[in-house]
Amino acid sequence: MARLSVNELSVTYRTEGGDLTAVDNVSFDVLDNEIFGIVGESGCGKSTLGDTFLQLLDENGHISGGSITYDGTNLAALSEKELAENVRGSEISMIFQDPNASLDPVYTVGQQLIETITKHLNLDRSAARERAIKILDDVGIPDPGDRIDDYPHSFSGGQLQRIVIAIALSCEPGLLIADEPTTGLDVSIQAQILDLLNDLAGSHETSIILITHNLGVVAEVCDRVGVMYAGNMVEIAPVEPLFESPEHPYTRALLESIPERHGIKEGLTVIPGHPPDLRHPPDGCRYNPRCPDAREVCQRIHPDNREVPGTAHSHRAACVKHTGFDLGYDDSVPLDRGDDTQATPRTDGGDR
Amino acid sequence: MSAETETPTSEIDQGEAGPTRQFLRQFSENRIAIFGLGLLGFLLLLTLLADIIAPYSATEQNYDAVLVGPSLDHPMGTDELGRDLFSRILFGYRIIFTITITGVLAAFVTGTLLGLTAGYYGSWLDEGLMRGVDILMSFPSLILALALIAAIGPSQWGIALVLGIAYTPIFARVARSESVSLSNETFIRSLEIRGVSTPRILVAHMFPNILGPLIVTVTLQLAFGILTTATLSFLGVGVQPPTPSLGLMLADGKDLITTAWWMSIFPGIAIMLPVIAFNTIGDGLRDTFDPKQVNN
Repeated sequence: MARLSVNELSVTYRTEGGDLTAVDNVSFDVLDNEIFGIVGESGCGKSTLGDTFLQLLDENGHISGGSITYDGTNLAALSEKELAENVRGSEISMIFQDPNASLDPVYTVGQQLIETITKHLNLDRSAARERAIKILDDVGIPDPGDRIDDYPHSFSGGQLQRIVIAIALSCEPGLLIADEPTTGLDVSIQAQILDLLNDLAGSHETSIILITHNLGVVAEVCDRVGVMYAGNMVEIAPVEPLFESPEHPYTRALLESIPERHGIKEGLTVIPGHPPDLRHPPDGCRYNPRCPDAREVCQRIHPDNREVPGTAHSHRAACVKHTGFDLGYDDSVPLDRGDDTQATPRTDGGDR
Repeated sequence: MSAETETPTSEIDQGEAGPTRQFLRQFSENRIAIFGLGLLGFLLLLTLLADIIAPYSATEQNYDAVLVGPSLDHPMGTDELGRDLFSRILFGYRIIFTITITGVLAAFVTGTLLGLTAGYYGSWLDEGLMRGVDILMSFPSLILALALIAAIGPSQWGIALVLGIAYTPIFARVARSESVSLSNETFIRSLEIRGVSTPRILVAHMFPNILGPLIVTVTLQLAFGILTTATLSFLGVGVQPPTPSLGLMLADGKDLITTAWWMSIFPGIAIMLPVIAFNTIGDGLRDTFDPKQVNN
């Protein structure tokens, strides 16, 4: 069952150079107790999307269309006050990239856990403390009974991220949004934190939205993945089919860009060109100026993502190439890109 | 980077001691600041015990001992009305400390509240509050104090109020700049996301985190407060006679400086001592709070 249902969601920022639609007509579901990954390069709108669920957008940003349905409620229509009262912390939690900056340095971790627990659950202090110790134990902090009274600075980065996760999960939220939760951590600790998220999703009956630019992280823990490009959700699929048979040329290019251990001397594979300026997105498919498969139709049609026929699992892609579209994609007619400078495939480092 | 299962290190031992103890340890290594603290403690003790220590009343006139120089009977001499200067200075301390501490604390509370709110909310509230603060700040604080006293009349609590108003902008500025950078910290955002109420975020989380620079400002403003209070008295708009006032004593003494030097010198030194004490404490605190020195 879908725990969270995002429907044709658009988020627009007002900027001096005009309106910028950072999230454009995005739809997807997050199922019960699954880890849904959102991947994309910097500026593709993935963090904006993450901030939208709890209305944490900057002042110049607003939801310009669509709905976010959680447990029968449209979060996009709630006031900030209603969100703070009923949703934030208790139903939906969020964790960020830098665990060192995520805790208040002047309180012990126990005080911060208990603050959240007593705020949302009807427990007295000793019961809250017991619960706090149990959660610290759940996230793998050794000697939680002693360490609960320590200040954040006496923990390592990996332990802090565990504590941040403990606080986020202390009130049994139905959904946890994790925005780049492992980016600042070294690789072995990254893996431990990802394992922890994986375990907790099952044992605490929490769905997790994992926002990351790292496909390795996605492969490690996610059940399903949405790939974002320039504000669009260009492909949604379970992890394995996505990695094995990506349907969207952008996803394919992303997968090819993953550095391989033996490929050091050959240099990195890069996607030519750079993401479009979202104030003036290109006509047609937003990826067409960088797409090796782009044809004339791609400059006219801006496809939404559609079910790919013939796949056993639900696999959606926003590319007119696949047969769910019948819009006259003709592989044999090469595209004349004219004078468009962005169209020249570049082999250097993209935007550098 | 260390592994997850790291064994307790000295860093962790320090952590168990808590930030307060660590702070005290660092502060106590600063000798000049400790000297200031000692001096202030000594002065405050004198003030509290003035009733016991003072050999004479602060206002009693003795025409048998007019303008007597420092002697065993009158350690700091007497003034033109035969009042014992040492006793008057002790009671003068009581007045000047009461006024200054009340005024600076009032400014600390209002200024911090304004600055914290402005910095946290930003946008139009920030603009509005801080432009008001700028207007207050555009008057030199002594001129502002004089104008306010002209309006409300000179009295002990009046001067405290005036100090409170005149120093509010300084605290508002410090609190605001600290709270702007703090409100962008991830942990403040995380608190919002956990549904913690805004007043609680401001009071329980923002305030303790910006307390360091504010305490430094408090001590430095206390030094200025002593000077301003004395200046107002010197100009005759402060505490009114016969209540003993250090500034007024200095003013009385200046006409007789050639014949009775003690009437100017001792009140002058008396004003200087708490200023030095507050300044050295403030400098010591600033050094201790300076993040660049934390690990030295």
